[in-house]
Amino acid sequence: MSLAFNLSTRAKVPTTSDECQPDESADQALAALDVRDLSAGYNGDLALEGIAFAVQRGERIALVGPNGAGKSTLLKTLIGLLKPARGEIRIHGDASRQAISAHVAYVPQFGEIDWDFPVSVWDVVMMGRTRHIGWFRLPLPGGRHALAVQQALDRVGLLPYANRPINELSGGQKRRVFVARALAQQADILLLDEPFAGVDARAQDALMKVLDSLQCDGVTVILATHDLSLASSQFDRVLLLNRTMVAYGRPAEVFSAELLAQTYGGQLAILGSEGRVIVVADQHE
Amino acid sequence: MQDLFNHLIGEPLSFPFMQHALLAVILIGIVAGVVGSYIVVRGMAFFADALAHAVLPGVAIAYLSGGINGPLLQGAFVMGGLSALVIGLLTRGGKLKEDTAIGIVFTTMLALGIGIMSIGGSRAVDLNHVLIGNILAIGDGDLAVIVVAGGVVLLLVAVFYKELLLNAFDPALAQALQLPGEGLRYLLLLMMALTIVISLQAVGVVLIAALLVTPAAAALLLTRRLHSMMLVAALIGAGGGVLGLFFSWHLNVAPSAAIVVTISLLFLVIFLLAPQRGLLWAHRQRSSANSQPE
Repeated sequence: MSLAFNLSTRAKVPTTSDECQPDESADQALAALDVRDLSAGYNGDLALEGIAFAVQRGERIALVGPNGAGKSTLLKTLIGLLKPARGEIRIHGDASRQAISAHVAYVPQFGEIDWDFPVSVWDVVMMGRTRHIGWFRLPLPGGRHALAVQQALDRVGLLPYANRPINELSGGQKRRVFVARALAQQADILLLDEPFAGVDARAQDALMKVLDSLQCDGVTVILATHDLSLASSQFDRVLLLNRTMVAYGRPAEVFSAELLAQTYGGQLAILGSEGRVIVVADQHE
Repeated sequence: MQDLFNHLIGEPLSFPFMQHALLAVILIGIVAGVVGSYIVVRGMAFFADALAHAVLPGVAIAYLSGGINGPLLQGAFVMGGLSALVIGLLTRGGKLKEDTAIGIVFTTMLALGIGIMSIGGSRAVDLNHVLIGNILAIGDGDLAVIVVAGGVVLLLVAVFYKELLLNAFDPALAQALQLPGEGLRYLLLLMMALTIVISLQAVGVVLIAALLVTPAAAALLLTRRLHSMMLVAALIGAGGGVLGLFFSWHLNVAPSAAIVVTISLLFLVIFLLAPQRGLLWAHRQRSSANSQPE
């Protein structure tokens, strides 16, 4: 299956972040996420090498690369599921592992979740409160943890579905449950692994709206996607990844024929003319 | 009416050994249903079956050292824990797939158990009791062990409910939140080992998996949340155990066989009739959709 679309690199693309006032009080020098010389992999095989980039508070980053480029590996390293083989990750300047659990939340790939597990939407979002509640306790009905779950569900528009088992939700709703869980964690850095894979345009739109509202609150978003046109139109910066970091910058800067060819190798045909790039990508999902 | 009741229930229960057996199957059914719910949602049925068989050498050694009054439960517990550890070591770092490691360890332990029992000479006939259970021989001491070990298991489930739920549903989040995932895994193994040990006398190593897996699998067809699944599994386990015990009395068949078959029949009924998820329900939905096209 192949997919063709246009990438305009000349026109100024309106990003949603323009609609929010940047938070001037925040320490601009201290990046929300600062990744330095990061290498990571499984069982000694490095899937990623020499990754270095910084993300400011409230920025929205698209992580783009072919299958097997290491997108999931990078996200799993950033959330602390994989130990870096080299390099460090600073969260608001803090390189400790505790900083990750306190500030970073992760929306896993669709296929990593057992959707037939007997849990309700409420149960899943409450899992985000596990550390806040602490050992040997259960959340009280109507208590502050219940309130946090309720607010998170309301934020993503799933409050009416709180008592539904998760396998009775639509594809788009299933993604939003995990965004709500991340919100219940009170994380300010949100990592999403291909949340748009397999959802229709309306569901994608609903999720984008949630991300827009988060950005206004200064939540930093890093999202892995195969959708180059979405990455170029809706994100502040794009990280092109293929085992190493090919490029990191504004969409207009990184979506060039040359850099895309470097990222995708032979899996991509690029036709360029007059500052417009037309990309034909092989999608194998 | 009075006579019928007496014949069906009163008469068997006039015997102390039946009273003991009844209490035992209720307690074991409850504990096995609760722990079995974790096993079913995590897809660990094969592991649980293997663990049940792996306790045999421990029971055998204990039996040879002290006969039927030897430290059978302690022996079972030690061997169960050891097997779980060995399986964990073999699969660490992806050296072996888990079901492969389970297959190797479980058959090795079973063979060791049978070998040790065979050394016992005339005592060897009692191998049957360990393999297929002997619930009618449960005494006061056994009941006390079942109450204490079962109570410990249920207490652990209650205290660590939300952590065990999180680790079962999404171990990645548990790890990201820096919960001790390995510790929670071993806690679950400990609860499984305790449950196996107390189920040993009721149905024997060969059939323990039925108590752990079947009630929980039936409960999953009827419920939508883990805690209600546990409750229903406990009811099915205990109820099936009690029914099976009475069937065994009246039909004069081995209690372990009667208990397991009764629970399986309950499962079959639920599998067919469960609202929404049952086979017949799905069939009716389909045929009504066909006859009345929108």
